[in-house]
Amino acid sequence: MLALLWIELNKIFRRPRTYIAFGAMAAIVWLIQLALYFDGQAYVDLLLSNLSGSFEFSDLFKTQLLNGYLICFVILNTLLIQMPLLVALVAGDAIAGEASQGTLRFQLTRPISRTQLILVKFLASSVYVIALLLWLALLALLGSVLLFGTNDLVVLRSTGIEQMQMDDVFWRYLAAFGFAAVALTTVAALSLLLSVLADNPIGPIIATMSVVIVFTILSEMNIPIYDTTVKPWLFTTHMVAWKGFFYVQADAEGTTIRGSIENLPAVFRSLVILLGYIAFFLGISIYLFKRKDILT
Amino acid sequence: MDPLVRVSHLSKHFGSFEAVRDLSFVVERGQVYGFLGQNGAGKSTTLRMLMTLIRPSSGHIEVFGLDLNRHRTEILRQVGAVIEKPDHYGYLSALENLRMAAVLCGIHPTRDKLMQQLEFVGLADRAKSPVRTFSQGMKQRLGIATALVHDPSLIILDEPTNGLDPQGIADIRELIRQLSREQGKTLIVSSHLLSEIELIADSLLILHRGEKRMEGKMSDLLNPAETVVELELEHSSPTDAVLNASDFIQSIDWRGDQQCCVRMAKNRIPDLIRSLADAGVSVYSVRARHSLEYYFLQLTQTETHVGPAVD
Amino acid sequence: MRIHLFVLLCLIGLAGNAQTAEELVKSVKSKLDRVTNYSATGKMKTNVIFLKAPIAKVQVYFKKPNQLRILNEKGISFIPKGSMNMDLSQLFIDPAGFDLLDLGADKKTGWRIIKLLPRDPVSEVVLSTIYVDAAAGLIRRSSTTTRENGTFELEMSYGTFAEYGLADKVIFSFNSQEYKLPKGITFDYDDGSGKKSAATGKPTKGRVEIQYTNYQINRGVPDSVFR
Repeated sequence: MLALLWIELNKIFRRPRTYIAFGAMAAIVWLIQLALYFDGQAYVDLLLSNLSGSFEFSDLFKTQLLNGYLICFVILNTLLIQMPLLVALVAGDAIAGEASQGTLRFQLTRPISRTQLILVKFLASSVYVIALLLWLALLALLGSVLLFGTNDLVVLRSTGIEQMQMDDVFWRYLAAFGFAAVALTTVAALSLLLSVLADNPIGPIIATMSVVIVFTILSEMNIPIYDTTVKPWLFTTHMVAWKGFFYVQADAEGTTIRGSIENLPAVFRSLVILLGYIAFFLGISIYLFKRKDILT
Repeated sequence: MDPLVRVSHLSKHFGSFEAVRDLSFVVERGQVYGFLGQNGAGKSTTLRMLMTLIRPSSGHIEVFGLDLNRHRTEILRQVGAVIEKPDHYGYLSALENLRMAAVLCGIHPTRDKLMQQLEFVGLADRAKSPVRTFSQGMKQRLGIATALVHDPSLIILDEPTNGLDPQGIADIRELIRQLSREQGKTLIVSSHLLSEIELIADSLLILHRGEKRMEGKMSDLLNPAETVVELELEHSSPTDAVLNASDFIQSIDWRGDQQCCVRMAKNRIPDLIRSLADAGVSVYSVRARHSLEYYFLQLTQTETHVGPAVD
Repeated sequence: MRIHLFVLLCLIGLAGNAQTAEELVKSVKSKLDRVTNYSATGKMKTNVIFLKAPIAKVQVYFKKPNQLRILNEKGISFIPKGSMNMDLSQLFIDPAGFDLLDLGADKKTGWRIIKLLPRDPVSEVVLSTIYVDAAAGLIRRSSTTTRENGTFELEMSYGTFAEYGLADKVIFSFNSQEYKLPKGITFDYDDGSGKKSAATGKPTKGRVEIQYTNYQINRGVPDSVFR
């Protein structure tokens, strides 16, 4: 299995197109960092416009607010839509790309089972997801901290503000990146399933993105009929649960409790649901792939 | 000895279209078994079923005495195949593609061993070149190398000479001969070119529209006594007289005013021409086609089934 | 500063008070006037319904007549608008002066309740009410209504620096405006608990509590701190 995994990883990381994803991510991150470096005050003013009637914001405050931890949070927020596409580019190509190239025959005429092949391709896609996230962590977290320094992290929610002290932030990012790995692996599993159904990778890539976009819109809309029926079960609702690591508990006086998470059971529940989706997508992929006639 | 491959009542339909219908055949150990049929006859579909790329709609396949459904992995360790045009990873080198094929078969040969195999197919000097720079012939040879990398007992080649120049075709033919005669491999080779099959196969199966039309040993089918001679000559009473009087002619078939096909022994052609000349008949051309070619064309142009089904 | 006092008719409830309101205010003010500047270290707790913030270590700087700065050098602190008024001297800063209204002693605490009515008709402050611990000569509580920023309140607890009228603990209550951001911008994580945030999106009251330590009084504070 390890040897097969090595082959799949070789295929992914030997192709120039893989590095388009890494390049695109770097470009987006650097653009955001650059913009905030030169015009971050305007961004901060926008963020604080809602609060300027209640609080005084000195220049020092604004500089402190716009620190590496906040920048990283902004970047992660921005990349919510782009990351699934970058994952789909590889996972969607896993079977359909090989089918269109004719190399699926190359593999399936060898003494490896179709189940083994799907599992190893899924594992390879997962490793790619982790590599992407490590790259993102390097650029967005380390890069932002180096450029903008560290300070307390202030997270703006729709109805409240969460502030964490600077030495209470880093572990949250570790947890968030770990969670994001599971979330993006869910997208990889969906993409792989769609790849099994196609003979050309464009279809699965576009289909994955369409599903993610539509589900994200449903997840974010506040329509009562969806809130109680569909929304709790959409995987996109749970993909953003990484933010739960940045929602803290407070005591009766509104003081942040250090090291706390507002609703850890909910985050855990989201994790379990995503793992369930992964198992579901993977299960169906294996079932369909075992029955698929390879005509290319 | 038990046959190496036994196929019984194999069928495959795609929706309402029947690609293969009730096909049965056996392949003996050490044979070169030819699959002959026009494009779309069902050859590739059958071979894909043998390689488990396609699930049969019904029927049974045994290889090495084992049920293919239940012992797929075990069987495929001993089978190497090139199905249709061999596709490789263009961005990898020949050596890397070959190594990948070996790993997929569960073996880890040394670099020297892999180079030997590339040498065998004449690609040693291009080992490090990316495959996307290869010609069709080179890709075909690399395909054969990847099929042989794990030293299989059974080799399946689907249209191995497709897209090759005459030298390439000759090379492939020689390779097949070596594999069969020198290494004792069993091969199943499909083609739509009778001339190719004729030169390499020990046994032959003719497929048409998904059905077996004929099966048998090559030696039986290439009977010199069964040559078909195509004559272009004037059709006149003297012509009829000569043809009817020649006892070595088995059948006469007029196809138009000046076209005639006669089935006869090949070594009597000079006698026929002498007789026609003596009778004053103008003969414009004489073309000898062996019976198999004529036979193949006849079968594929009619609905005739010939030969017993092999169970 | 000369204060021209106009003494109104006192109610019967004031019977038994040894000092007049004027005398009390004068006594309080005299303490506050001793302080021209100070810097202090403090621990600041912010309690606003929509804000969860950690306790912050802050530096508070004050310079007469009206410069006050709360600085969190290492972290982020949300400083409420009108924080200047955390210093009690701001109660008496209006040069036009004010009229006093003595409401007698508070039944529960015994503190003297005195209202300060600014004479300046366009003063930002509309009315201040102070609760004075007559025996100690210290303001324990104040409530100030302003035109622009609503009403804010101060509660003071004294200790080591009482002689300067500087509190060990100050609780500053202020009006906070509504806070709401569209979900389409924040992409909140909906944890499915159905729990509504305590924040209603409507204006509420906020509280800042500073526990002071280590006052450095009249040692000088550079102007650069207030820029």
